[in-house]
Amino acid sequence: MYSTDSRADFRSRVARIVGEANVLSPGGSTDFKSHYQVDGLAPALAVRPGAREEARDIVRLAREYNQSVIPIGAGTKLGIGMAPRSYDVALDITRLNRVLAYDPGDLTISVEAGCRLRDVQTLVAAQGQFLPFEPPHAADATIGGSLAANSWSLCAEGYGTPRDFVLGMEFVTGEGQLVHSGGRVVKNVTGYDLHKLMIGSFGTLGAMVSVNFRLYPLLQDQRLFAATFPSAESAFQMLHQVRTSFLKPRTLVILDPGAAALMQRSGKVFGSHPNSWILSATVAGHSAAIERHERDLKVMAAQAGGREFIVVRDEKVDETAALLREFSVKLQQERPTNIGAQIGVLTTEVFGLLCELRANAEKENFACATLFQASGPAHLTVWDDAVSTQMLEDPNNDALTRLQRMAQRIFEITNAHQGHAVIQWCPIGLKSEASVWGESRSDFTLLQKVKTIFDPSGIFSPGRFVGGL
Amino acid sequence: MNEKLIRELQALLGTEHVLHSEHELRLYEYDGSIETARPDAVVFPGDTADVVRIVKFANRRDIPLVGRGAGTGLSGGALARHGGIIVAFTRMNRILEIDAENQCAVVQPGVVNSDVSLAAAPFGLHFAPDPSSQRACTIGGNISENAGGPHTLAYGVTANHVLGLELVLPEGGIVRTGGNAPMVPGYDLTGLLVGSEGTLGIVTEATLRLTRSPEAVETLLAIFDTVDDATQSVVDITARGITPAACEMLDGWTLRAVETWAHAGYPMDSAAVLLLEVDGLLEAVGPEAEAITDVCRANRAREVRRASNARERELLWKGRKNAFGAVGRLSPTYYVQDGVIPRTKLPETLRRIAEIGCEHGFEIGNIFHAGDGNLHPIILFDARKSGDRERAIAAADRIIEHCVSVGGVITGEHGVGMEKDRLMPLLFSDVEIALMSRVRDAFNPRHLLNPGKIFPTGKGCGEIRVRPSHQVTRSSLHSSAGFGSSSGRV
Repeated sequence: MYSTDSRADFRSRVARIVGEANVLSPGGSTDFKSHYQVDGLAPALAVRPGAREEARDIVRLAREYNQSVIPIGAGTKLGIGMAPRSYDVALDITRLNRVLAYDPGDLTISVEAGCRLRDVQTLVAAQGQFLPFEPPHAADATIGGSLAANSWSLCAEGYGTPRDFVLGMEFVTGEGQLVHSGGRVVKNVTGYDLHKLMIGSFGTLGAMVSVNFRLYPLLQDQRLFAATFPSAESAFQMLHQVRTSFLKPRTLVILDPGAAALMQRSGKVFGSHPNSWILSATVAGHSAAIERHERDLKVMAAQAGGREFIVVRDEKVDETAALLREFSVKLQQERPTNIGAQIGVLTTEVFGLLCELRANAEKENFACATLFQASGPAHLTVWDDAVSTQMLEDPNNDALTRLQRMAQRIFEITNAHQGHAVIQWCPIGLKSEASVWGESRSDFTLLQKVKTIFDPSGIFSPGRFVGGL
Repeated sequence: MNEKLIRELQALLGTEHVLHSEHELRLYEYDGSIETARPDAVVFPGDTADVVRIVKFANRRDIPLVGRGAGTGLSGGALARHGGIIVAFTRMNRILEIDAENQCAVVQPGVVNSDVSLAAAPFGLHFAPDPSSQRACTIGGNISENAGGPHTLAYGVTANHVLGLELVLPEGGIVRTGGNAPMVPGYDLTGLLVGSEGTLGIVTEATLRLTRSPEAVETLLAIFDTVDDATQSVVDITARGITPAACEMLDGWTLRAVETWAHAGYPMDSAAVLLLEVDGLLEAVGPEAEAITDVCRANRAREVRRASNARERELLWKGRKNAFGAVGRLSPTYYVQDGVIPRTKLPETLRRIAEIGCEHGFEIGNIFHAGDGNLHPIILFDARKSGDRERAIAAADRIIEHCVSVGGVITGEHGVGMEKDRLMPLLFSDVEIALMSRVRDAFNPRHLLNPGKIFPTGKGCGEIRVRPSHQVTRSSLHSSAGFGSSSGRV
């Protein structure tokens, strides 16, 4: 515990670095708590550095005063992870929003980590280019937050995940050192790729302050297809056909009937048959190639027993793809008493896994909806509309116990299918019972060592990650 | 190494799996670089348990260990710089599994790169990284060095195709990182390990991503009278929405050297040839090849040749694939460099390389992956002449300094090894090198795994440190709200 004097001292020194206007306190703003709190815990102050060096200086001070720090972008994914062991300072990176270097001819860009992803996409689109990263929360999410959370990307089927197109990074370590890793060029084997450790580290190793990306040519012509199926077998049969063909969709997902029903309601483009499984793909590029995709996909859908084959064109494609991208987010926001899990699993295991999970949810009287991304994770949401927040807090109600049992089953079933589940969204009460990250793996000792090297005093997001890191 | 230790090693692994005589060890003092270093023994483990035995043996006695695949590396990565034992993976060369449905393979580190693609071919799959040495080099070496190749422009380097690793640590512990299922929670140790040049652990098994082989391939060769026209074509091709599978360039000096010997059909008075490949659906590659032809013509290409079948394609690739052989006929020794620059800096960089050649009295040819700005200047020198080798290295250093000064890096696919450890301060501050060094200490606390690589050792490194010029951003691009603009190095 620290004396009030020490806190005041820390605050005034922070203000000297960033200016009084960029130090926020819980009393100062009504939005403070809702914006900066993590699992119900609010920090003593939020700091908004305006330069990368300021971020470095704040972390140095935080270390000196033993203040724990959580780096925050738009705050859209702060609910992921365990409740922090302590939380003194929110390091708000959203003023770090400058473009550091962009020569379109190089097909690379360097931006500060507080840039909104959407703004970067707009900037490069004007030059006929795009950043192949399409995570959820697209309207608000920052570069730093999306990378720290290693958010799933809708176009991963075509372009891979951030570790494939992040070329380099600058970050502030727990020792308050501003360091860089990688570079601004597409090919680089100089030194260790420390930035790969930062991707998906959920703010536990340091704070990202700038990132260099590889860009790709923007393909203007695109089309979205959706086929509806009466059974999981037929949908997965089509998935197999697509994956063993020469076709190159940029996105490829399967929706279970729970997800299909919700999409049919909101999008109106995913067919009308109730209780359907849906396979959806988007393609982009030369018109002849798009036509070929349409032709082949239609045949594959028919052969697999598809009911409907829907084609979405032109500007409707982005709109419809956005529904898929934001699907789980929307579901979670609308149903705060649910469990949202991201499950990494082999393509061959998905079918069995989803069937078991759905059967279990049904047995426990939960509704469920799943979006599975080919060669990526499955996103499962489980909920009971009859359960309210009050019921979860009532010790005499079994609502929380039921959710706990379901979470337990998600881990068990996923493990049995050689996958790994992360509970990304759940009532806070659930987090005190078990780790949302599942069990640690054989490399955990090495993860601990990495944490100690980057953040020896343990000031960054303490306790939030795998195994209490 | 004394006889007692050799006998102990033989007892551990079997007499036939330990080399220790002078003439045997000589075979292992080279790799593809211009460096040499002789090991004290070479051992051939047959499985992970053997590797654990070797590691424990070495750890107890403070003996350095250096992993080695085929020894085709170009930065001294597989050389025993400080002596010790070379762990050669010749026997651990089995493909353990081709999982076509999940598009991955599990292999031992001694498997030859192209053998993975051969084994995957019946399923319509291949392993995408294709370094020039792919018929000899091994997966273990590819992982250590994060190997590239001509087709990495579209498909990425080794790091993009390794899903998980089994690793033996210096104390003998076995750890598994990553895995074939996506989104493993935890820090991405697999991403850290690929390209760590054998300094963090010894890889004993790898899970690789397999890539679907394309339906159609079109190869084009465009001949230019100026390097600038060829370079501009590369930029314009992208602007047409095309990401070529490969985009290779030979400069005038190199194409003349190649033509003299390999007869690839290059006009002797041209300044650059661009070799381009697009792949994908039948319906896509035709129009893309047309578009590329248009772009090259618009940039004053003297001629654009196009191959549609395997025989014609081979002919177009002939010059590129035989380039190093052709150069080998011109000079007893040559030094292949490996710098990377932002690709818009190609013309000025080639001019600077020519100047550096003049200043140091060498002819320097250039072969490069133009699409990703990865240069391979070839410096011809005669190692028998006193001082020639040192001057060649000095010229190479100037080239690398230039690459860094225009925003590039010191190695794109060959690795730092013992070739460029002293150049690391060009890119990294002392604090950054110290952070990497602490990461090494966490895995390899006594520096017994591949010592003398990556990390600069000598004093005075700071003297050669230059800071790259700040890239000035185009302020006109930053009109959108919420964006400021500034310049800086990242």
